[in-house]
Amino acid sequence: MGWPMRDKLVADLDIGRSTLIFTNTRYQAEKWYQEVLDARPEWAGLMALHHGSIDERSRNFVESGLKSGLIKLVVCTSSLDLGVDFPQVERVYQIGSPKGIARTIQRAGRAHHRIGESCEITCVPTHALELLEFAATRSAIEKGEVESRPRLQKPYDVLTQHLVSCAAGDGFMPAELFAEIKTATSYRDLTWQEFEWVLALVEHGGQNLSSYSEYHKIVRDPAGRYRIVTPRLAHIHRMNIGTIHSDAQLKVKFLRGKSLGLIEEGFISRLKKGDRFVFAGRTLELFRVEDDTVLVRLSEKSSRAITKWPGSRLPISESLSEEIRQILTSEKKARQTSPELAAVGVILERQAQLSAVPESHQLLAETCRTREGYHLFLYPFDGRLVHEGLAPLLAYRFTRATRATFSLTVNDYGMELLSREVFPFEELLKPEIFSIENLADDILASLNISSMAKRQFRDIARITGLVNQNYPGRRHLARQLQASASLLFDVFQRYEPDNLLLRQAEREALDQFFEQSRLQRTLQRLGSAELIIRHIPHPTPFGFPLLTERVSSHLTNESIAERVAKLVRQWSKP
Amino acid sequence: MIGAHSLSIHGQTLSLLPQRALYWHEEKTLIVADVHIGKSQTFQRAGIAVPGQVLQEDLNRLTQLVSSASADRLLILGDFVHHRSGLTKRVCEEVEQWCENLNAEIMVIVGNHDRPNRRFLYSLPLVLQEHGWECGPFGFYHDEADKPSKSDQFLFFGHTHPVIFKNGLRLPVFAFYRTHCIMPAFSIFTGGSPLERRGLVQAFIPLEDEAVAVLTSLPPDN
Repeated sequence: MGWPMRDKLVADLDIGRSTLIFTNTRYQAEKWYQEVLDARPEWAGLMALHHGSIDERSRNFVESGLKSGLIKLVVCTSSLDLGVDFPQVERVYQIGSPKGIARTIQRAGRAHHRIGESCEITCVPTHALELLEFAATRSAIEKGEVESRPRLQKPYDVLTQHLVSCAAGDGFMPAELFAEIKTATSYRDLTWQEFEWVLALVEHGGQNLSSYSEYHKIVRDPAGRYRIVTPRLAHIHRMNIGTIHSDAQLKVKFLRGKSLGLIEEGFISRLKKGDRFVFAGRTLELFRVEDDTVLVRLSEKSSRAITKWPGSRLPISESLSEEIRQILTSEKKARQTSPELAAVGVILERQAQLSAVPESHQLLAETCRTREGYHLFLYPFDGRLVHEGLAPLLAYRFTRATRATFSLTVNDYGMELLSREVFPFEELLKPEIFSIENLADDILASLNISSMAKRQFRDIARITGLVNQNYPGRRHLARQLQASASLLFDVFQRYEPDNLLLRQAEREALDQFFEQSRLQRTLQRLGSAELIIRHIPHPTPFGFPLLTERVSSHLTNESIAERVAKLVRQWSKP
Repeated sequence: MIGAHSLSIHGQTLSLLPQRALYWHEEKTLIVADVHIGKSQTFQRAGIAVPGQVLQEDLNRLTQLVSSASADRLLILGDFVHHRSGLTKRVCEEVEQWCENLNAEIMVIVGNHDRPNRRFLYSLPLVLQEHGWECGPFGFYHDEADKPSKSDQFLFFGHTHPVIFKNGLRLPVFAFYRTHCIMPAFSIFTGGSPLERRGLVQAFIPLEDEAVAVLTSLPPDN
């Protein structure tokens, strides 16, 4: 979280000048807001908190306060990166790595947002190796390298939602709409067949007519235009439109009625009446949960429990990881010019002494034996997503040679494979292991794609309207219509394995979680890299963050029954 | 019965079946809870495309279980149907036909979802129990709240759909406590609430068509 930096940051802040502090998560924003306020209680009226779960009215208030100069300091997340301009903002801080070059520029650009003026951002590291990311970002910006945004490929869920929206409006003629949709880049390659499939989905539930005999959402009028069936369905649709995913959310309100924002049901369900938690910068006490509203009152005492929002951690971008590898190659020379590298130099020296600091054409592998077992650390510096795909792939390929079980841990810099029993990592670590032959098959074999796809399906189910969060009135019926996306996923997989929405989930899981094409480039690079293998007595500075991370996942290619049987055996051990 | 796990309670033999059902040997009674007939049709009527085969398959599974156990009676611990909006003419006819063809007496304990749909249920060839049913050393109720204030019997409930959440899996369980058992929901299209751990003696996970896993110690939910 970067607490050691708190005092330095607070000392650097100047409440007279309009300032934004960016964090990467809502949780961090809440935490940092508290910390700054603890250190500078006298700023209470001048400071504000802004993130996506805070009530829209309060957010608007913060935004206008910032514009008018009433509010001088805002702790925020990406909720303030885009779309809003604050010419008054003079200083921008970034806590932790923004994980990408474009994102850093975007955030820095919040200050002095006038054409022709330059801007500045102060980065606060939350751990030492993040300094490397800052240094890499700096050098990339100097070279003018910025990553581009990949476009989604034919998201069927958004198309489904769009068809219903059009039907709820003036209605649509299929051929006209198809031609119009094809003009959007993401749907360039959409075929008429796919379009018909989505049309069938909203018209009668899918191609298997008999199983959807009670379903109607849109119908064709005599003129051939598709229209939504009832005004009520149109109403429900409008209440749930949008593509930004969130879990089931409850409104947080004071007993007296003021609304504070939205909170995840999962967080609240763990609290009891009288429990305290921090939300929207205040310590609140849970009073009662009523339907979709959490009633709270302000608490006198403070609390350490801060709302945690689920959300995937953003990996560093490809350009940034490339830059980090470059920086490591030339870090010694660059230390004079880069303040970040000068600061992280001690750690790099220690790393070089214990093991090695890889240059961009090299791949560093470390093997180590501890009480936990036999470790292999590998540092491709290619971002969490790629490593999440790479680690199980390597584990899978290793186990083809010899039987073994690994626990896997990854972060943005590298990965760890841990085996309880002796494993000949050194022998098996050869360029062939990074081969791109049979890549797709090996990925499918090494990963539990279905559980990945299940995660992805949450968004898809919501966007297509399979899971609605809001119903007009009649709460009673709404309760009869509750089904989690994961339950729907199971039902579809059982009865309609060919459903295009499942296909989309699978494809997005592969692409988004593992950036398949990026993984391929990484493998090619690693296959031709000079391999440095070091046996180390204990974990190095590069490896240590991995050990502390340990959000380990296991290599699983077992069926659900096998996984359960294994879990049961584990739990049954005394 | 393949994959079943047998227990003895109050001198009676019970088999937990992998298909989320319980078989009471002495009374030749097959017991299930929370069938929620017509749930996918309720979704469809509200403009949500959920496959309707769920209904047919749930009914088929019940038929198969009754015949493979050669049960004389099928006892449903409440929530036989889901909501009136899903009880369309076609669904009602299908259910009626199924009741007529089933080779066993059907007894339904009225659950909270059944209560508004009694008229339909009374039209079916089955025995309705408004509050619960006692038989020998056992008592059967839908909701734990419906049980008699004092009872020496071992009780069976449905209603809560107990589930363990682990590693992204949602596993329905048979939850056994000192005085009672809570049954998993029979239908595949049902969610669940986390298993109540207080007082839990033993839990069993039915693994469809395979086996019943016995849990001796419980992992935390995640």
